[in-house]
Amino acid sequence: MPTFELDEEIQDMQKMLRDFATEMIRPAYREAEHAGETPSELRESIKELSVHLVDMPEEYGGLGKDIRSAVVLEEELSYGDVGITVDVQDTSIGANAILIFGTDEQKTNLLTPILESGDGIAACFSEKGNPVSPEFIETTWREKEGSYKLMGSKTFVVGAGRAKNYLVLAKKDGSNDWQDLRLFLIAADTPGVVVGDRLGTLGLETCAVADVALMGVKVDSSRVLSAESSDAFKSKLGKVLDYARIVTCARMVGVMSATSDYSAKYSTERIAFDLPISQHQSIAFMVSDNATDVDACRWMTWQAAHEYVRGGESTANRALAHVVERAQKVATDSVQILGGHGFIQDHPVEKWMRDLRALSLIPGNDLFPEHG
Amino acid sequence: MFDFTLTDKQKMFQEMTREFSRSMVRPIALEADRTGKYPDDLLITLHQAQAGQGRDIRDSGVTANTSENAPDAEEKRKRQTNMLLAILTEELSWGDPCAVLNIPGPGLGGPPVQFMGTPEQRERFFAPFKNMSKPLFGAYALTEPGAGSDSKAIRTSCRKDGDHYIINGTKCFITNGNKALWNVVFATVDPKLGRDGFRVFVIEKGTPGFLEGKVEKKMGLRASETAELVFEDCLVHESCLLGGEKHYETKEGFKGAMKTFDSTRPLVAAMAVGIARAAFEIARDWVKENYTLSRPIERYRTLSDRLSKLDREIHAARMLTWRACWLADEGIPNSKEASMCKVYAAQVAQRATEEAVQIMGPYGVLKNHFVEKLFRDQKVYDIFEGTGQVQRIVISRRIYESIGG
Repeated sequence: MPTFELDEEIQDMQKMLRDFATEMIRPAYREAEHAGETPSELRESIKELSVHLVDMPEEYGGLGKDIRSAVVLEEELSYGDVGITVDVQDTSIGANAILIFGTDEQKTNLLTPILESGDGIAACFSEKGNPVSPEFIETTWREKEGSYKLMGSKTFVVGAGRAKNYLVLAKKDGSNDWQDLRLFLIAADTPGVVVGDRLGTLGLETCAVADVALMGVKVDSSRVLSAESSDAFKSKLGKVLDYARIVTCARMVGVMSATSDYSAKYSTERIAFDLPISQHQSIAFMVSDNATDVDACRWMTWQAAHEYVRGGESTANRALAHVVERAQKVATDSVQILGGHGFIQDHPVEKWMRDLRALSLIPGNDLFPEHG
Repeated sequence: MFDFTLTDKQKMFQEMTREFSRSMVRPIALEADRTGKYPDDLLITLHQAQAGQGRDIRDSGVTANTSENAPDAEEKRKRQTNMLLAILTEELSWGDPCAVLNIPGPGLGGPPVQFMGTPEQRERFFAPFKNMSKPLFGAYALTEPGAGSDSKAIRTSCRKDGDHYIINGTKCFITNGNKALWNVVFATVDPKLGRDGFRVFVIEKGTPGFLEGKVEKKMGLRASETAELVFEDCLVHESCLLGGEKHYETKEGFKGAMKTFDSTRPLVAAMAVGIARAAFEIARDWVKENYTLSRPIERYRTLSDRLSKLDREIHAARMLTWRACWLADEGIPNSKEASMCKVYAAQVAQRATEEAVQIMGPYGVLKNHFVEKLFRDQKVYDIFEGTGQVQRIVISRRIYESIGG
């Protein structure tokens, strides 16, 4: 039966997170952006909320819900500030990859400790050339006596130099077969892992983005994720990326909602021609269109999460394409409502506009497009 | 937790309606557009099919054609009548939006009679529709030349005289108003009182002083009747005042009428989604089957981009519609969401039909191509039941109320 209802438990968490986002995250957004990282105390307290555990199975230390709960909660955190959310919520996308690709043994040995510690996993998928299929991947692995050696360079790694783990996509040296692709879970302090200079970014400046070079990095076979066939690898990688896309959608909806609410509130306070500008229809209509777009994007995201759980035909790309497009509109119009104030850093809308643009380009979003 | 899987029953109704729409409605739609008439036998089939779908739909209020007591809240919730109606409306509108407007029964006049009428009135006015051997209609007449969404501006007057009321005024743009057995007519005892002065009557065809106005010629939806109603000293018995005189002593009277619109805007949205989907599918199939420079044109990237953008927007419009319906079924106020889906879906229908016409090039503007008709049909979806601008006024008011602005 079609329903928009939330479990009571998730509803409670949603309310709690909304308060947390408004009272704890929002006041820190600018300082975190300028510092280029989340204040460590805030980082700890967000980790303690355990949002990253919500959709992980109980046997590995999760809360046993699914991605539908994750999207609801990720939206709430991002409502506070998405730079901080992406910076701190750095576990779930990698953890989900282990869940999808891992053997039972790997899940127990790799996933459980990561969930327990809340250590980040930075995804290293993108390269200078866009790896839409194996022939475009230049990072390679070689196997020798049960251990693997990685060579190559990854770019746009979000969380580079900050996450405790990297999840690297690489192909077998000399093979363009999908079946020979592997994902490697590497501890950040492994010799040969070289993090490049931090890249300046359009938005999401709270997050560390850099290149990561892999100079003959040795990886034990227990930390190598693979699939039994080309088709299996493709479909599992598709699932990993779908998950990332859906979570990104939820985060973008959180920012859209924040910027839409912020500009609506501002319009009730700013006076022009003796009236609050909310009384001018050109403004009120923008507020109305923003709210409508936010709702539509949220339900598209929920629908994609629903299909992800159901295992039906994936609608993650469709949702993402829609959210990305509408996010630009909502962000720009929110800045427009604030006028000159929207352009300066006394208000968050200029930042959210940049963040939304950056989010829509986060690695993984444009990889392996099925349709668009 | 949220879930968008249809129940087996909803799916069955959806598939039945889709097949009916494909095999019975679409084939006659262009002809109906030319003649302005729908074949009686199709309408009777539609009426019977709908009645056959049982209590699920009958009790929804919108197509209320029964005097049975309305179901309680929990029952309504379980039945998801609004959700189901939206699903079926989209399917039927896909075949031809006029088919939805031509479903025999009380139409938009149903909800006011259902919500405001006394048991005797419900029995009296709904009874004729139990006869399914010919298509019979009810209608809803609020709009006037000088008052649409701003309904408090109506000028049609009513004055009590003994056990009758005398009605004077003109109503316009009334769907099925001319052929209807009766119209639900909004009049005022004193325009200065605004909505508090409203009286709502059921005026039967043939009532003395109820004159036939003109039937409008329109850009689209030509197989659906849009009529003017003229009342000149029209003499209406007091038993036709919905709810009786007492009903209007409190302010609930007008709220009853407005409830109609909170449950119908999502259905208008569902119709627009059906139109958009029809246009999208025609364009998509056309692209698959046609060649330019000896290449199948689906290989042209900009075309697939444009089509997938439409596909996304259609899904977004449907989700907004479902949201508004779900709220209604749950008994949660949905005024804002009803306006959201209505304004959004109308724009999507507009873009989808325009894109379809553009993609098909010269073929898109030919009279015997269905998209040409859809292109004309869709425009009014951004107009009737409150223009897009009026919906935005509603939405922004709700937002500002919620933040105390």
